[in-house]
Amino acid sequence: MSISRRDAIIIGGAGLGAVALSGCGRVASEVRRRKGAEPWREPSDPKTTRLLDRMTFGWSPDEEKLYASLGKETYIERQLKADFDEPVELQMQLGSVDAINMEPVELMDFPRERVIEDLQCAAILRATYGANQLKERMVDFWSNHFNIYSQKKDGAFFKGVEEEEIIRKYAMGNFGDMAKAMSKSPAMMMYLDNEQNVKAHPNENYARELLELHTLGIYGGYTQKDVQEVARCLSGWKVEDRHLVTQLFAHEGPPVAQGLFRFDPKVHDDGEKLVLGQVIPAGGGIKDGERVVQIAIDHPSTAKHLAKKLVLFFTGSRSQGLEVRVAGEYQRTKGDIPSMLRPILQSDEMLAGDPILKRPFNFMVACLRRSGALTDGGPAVQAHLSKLGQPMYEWPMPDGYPVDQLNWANIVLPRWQFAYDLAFGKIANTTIQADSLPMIEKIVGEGSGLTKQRMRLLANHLAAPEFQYA
Amino acid sequence: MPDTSCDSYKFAMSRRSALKMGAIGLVPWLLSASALSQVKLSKNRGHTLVVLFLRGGSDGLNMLVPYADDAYYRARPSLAIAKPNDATKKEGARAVKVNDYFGLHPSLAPLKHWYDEGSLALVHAVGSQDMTRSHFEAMSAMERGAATGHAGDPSGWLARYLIKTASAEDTPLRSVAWAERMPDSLRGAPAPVVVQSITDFHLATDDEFIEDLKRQYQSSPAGTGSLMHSAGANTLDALSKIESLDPKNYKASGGALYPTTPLGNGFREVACMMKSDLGLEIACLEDTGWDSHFAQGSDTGIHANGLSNVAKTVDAFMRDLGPKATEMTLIVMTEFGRRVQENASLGTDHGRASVMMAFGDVPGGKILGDWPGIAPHQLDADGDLKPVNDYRKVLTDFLSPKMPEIVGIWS
Repeated sequence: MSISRRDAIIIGGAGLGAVALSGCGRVASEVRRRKGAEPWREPSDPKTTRLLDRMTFGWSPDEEKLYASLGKETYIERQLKADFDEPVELQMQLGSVDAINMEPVELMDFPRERVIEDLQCAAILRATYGANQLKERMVDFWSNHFNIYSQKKDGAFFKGVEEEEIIRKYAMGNFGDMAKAMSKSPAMMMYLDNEQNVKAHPNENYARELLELHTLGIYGGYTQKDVQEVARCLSGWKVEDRHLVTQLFAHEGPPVAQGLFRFDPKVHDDGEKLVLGQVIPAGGGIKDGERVVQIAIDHPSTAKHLAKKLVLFFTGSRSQGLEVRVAGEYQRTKGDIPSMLRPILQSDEMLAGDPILKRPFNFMVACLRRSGALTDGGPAVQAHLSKLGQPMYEWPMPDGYPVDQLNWANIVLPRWQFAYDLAFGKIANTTIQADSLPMIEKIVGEGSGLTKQRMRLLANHLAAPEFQYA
Repeated sequence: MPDTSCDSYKFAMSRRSALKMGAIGLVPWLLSASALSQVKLSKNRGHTLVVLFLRGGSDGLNMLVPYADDAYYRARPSLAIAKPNDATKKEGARAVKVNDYFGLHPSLAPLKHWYDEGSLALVHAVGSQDMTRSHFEAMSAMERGAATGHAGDPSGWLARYLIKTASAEDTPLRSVAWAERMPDSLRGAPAPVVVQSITDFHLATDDEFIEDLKRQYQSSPAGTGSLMHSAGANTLDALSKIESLDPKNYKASGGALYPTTPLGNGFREVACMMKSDLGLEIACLEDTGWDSHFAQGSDTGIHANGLSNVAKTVDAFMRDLGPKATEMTLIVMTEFGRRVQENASLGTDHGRASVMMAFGDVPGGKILGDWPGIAPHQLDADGDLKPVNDYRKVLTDFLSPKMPEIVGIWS
């Protein structure tokens, strides 16, 4: 058996306190060097602008150039494949973000707030500078679909590995693969109290949200009784919390490193269960829960639930016809996410429907992209994100941040403040360089250098009611 | 420029919600905030409604404890609150006797004074008809004033009240939510203001930027702008009104000491606004962390801490308002209660019914409504306390004397 990094930690003990978190801030701003900015390009037509505003975190001249060079079909297919090389600068920046490069048990030596800061930093940098923009939008979608609250229990320390190894891995892959991996994610099990779900007294929290939010959807055809039966199936699913995994536990199966998924047969309810009309025979052990997840993945309500959410996310409204097509793709391809997205990206509903109010995270990233800003994604921009109302991984409920504009439209002041502070260079480690000015000349007017007047024009542009919509 | 292609932003309220909301939903956008800004500040209708929503489902059975019922102690071997006369426990670990059957959680002890004085009314077994035991459905039902999470009007119950009672004299601070996002109860309201704290409700910019904002947001004729236009115009309006307040230096009266929690600060600011006569009619506040599946605790612990924060905050608020407390009603509500039987995690799972508390101008000093009992045969099929007191009926009873229009807003 090869020794993975995780095993090495167990063997070596978790005492890595001497390793200092290097942080995303300082290194990042030194590393990032933009190539000469593209000069402003007029968007070729309103539909292209709309397409790019929805497929990415905000139209930018760079994105338009890429789009123009590939043509619409190829651009969409490449974004669906998510096979663009990531910019070297971004990779270097991310390399210094500890929370996405270290294991949960290592991170636990550090303050929680510092780890959350790192996680948010990575999210902001990737959304702003990532080449595979559609994937980044889907990461935002799935991260909310499978929301956890980083302030609950040890969620913050486990969110990084969940984001890297599940959400980002499958964001443009297969939903079933993602759901299966997610069902054993330590962060999710902690968040939804499944460590306390044991045979003697089942805890229904995880079972309910698995059906209601992750798969079938509310009114997806399950009952309170199904929730209770699913809870029984998932009893004994927990996070390995023992420090030393040695021969001592060999009789319980292969050793599992601390902080990973573990099935504990001693507290599993091994009796027969009935889930959504299917009998799960007694004695199945860990297979009970795996079977439940598979039943949920294969359920037609899951196809409908995901179709509804995806259509709403990209078009801003419900559409029966489009939802049916997307759900059909889910069933035809057994959960292939790009196949579900393709009809949405080509739809009239997306290209001709009403504008969507940008959620605060989208607004912030769109401002950074539009203005060609250099940012470290660190505490200063994060403080703005928090005031805007959408600090990452800090929505306490399992349903993720709302998408409906009515939840966001009345929080206006922080948007204006961000636009102003960004344009006037008042955000630490976030700057608009004179280099970027040719790119945004149409906004800031012709001239040279960062004059006060040009800053003002940029601030007004980003604060305008029109810019709040995509 | 790319954005000019987005000229249809003015229709950005989705067609679907426009259709569903019908006439009601479309009224707010016609009430131009810029028109309102011309109006002098007027007093509100002489009454302020404050709603505190405990998100996550607070355990009503440990808030107002049926201590005289042995079924309660059988169902909760480790979480039960001791009887008021249980000599084996310290005073602070026993229920505070309200009558011969019910007692308050010891963390709610500061509220007993208001009950005795007649300014606090309690109702047990309050809930909606929503059977899903889903937070989101149950909250959606209660915040929209609907029977269940999927029935009824998409707008909020407070929004419909505000629309029904709108007048040209309304101030831009008629409805304010202390929250990170607008609560669903205000969905579709004419110009609600959402603040995390009114202390932070200002712009640190130069004046020219604000003048530019006014040009961008207050330029469109009434009713033609996007949702963002009207929200922006109202925000600029509210901004100028709030400038007259000095919440940082606000001194509470009556020796009131607000906890230094977000909730305590929120109520302190509500009192500050009420005393400044800025026309505040509806204040929405919320608190999270009530979903006690795990390690809920009994007389101490997570739930006890949450209740203590609420009790100390409300106690300070009532003391601070003094005689002005009769000019307001404060409702404390939650989307559902917890299962009667505790779970193995020293917590409780989602149930149906919980407790509602009403302070201020209410028929206080009483426990109102029906009590279905908690013996196993008295529970519903899943083992939950029956929500025999529909929350809409309870709210109507509390609010209609001062807010008669509330009667017709339920859906």
